Amino acid sequence: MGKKARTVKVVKEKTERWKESDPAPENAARLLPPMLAAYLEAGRLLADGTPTATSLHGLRLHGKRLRYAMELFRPCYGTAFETYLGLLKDAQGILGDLNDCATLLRVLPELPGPEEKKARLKNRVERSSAKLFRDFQRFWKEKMDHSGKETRWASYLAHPRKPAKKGAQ
Amino acid sequence: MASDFARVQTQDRLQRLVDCLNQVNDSAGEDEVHDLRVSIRRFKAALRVFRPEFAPRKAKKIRRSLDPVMQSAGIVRDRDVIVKLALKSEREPSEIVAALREQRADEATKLGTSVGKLLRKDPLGKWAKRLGL
Repeated sequence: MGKKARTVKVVKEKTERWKESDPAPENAARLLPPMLAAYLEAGRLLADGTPTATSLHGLRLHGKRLRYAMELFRPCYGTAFETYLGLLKDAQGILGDLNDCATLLRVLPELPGPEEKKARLKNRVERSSAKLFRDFQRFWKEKMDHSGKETRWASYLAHPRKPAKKGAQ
Repeated sequence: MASDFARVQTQDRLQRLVDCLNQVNDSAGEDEVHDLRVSIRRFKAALRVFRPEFAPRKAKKIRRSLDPVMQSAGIVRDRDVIVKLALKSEREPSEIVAALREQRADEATKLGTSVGKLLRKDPLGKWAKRLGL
């Protein structure tokens, strides 16, 4: 964000493969924790730096993949699952708002209208974007990445608590 | 034939995707377009996570056939969110918002065409069969 913004390469997810021979909870325990670890590592890098809008959007896409993969295994977990999913949704919400600002700033020069008005709008959106980034940093440090959170979250995903009901193998 | 868990989860997402395609075919409003994009991502996530369960070439072909709809829906969605943001920041509708709305209408027409084309392929029946659901 701003002049010092730099592209932070988002950590490549380590992708484990679904094993047809294993029951769904075992697959969940193997697939989800590495995806979570890669996502949290990527977010940590961005929250600690001055990332570009592209890097933040990359993290958002990363989060979507994690969220939708987690949702596929919802039948394998208990109620705490929704708390973790909620955290992920909240982080995605801030990143989504940041991306909306970046999208508007990207298309604004091509739009018709008085330059003065466009400059004013650009200024307001840049300010909103800077505030949203501070919100993201605070949220990441306080909710996603504070001491022990990753371990608890990863441990939860590594230990599905109940056998899958509907459609379980 | 996919395993029970993979089959149930994938079929559920395919059904939701087809429902969303039909909704956008009726009216490409803001919520309908958003729901369609989410349903495509969820269906693709099922194809990715349960990849070993499906014939690779068939799954790839299905994923690819969703690309034009996703791309078009993405442009419409972008216009929707930036109109909202511009209105919030500008406090009054302006030439900028009018131009964005015009672009949105054009893109929604293109999206309708892509969706209609896809629905004529009977995704629920044919894709379910190809994936062994």
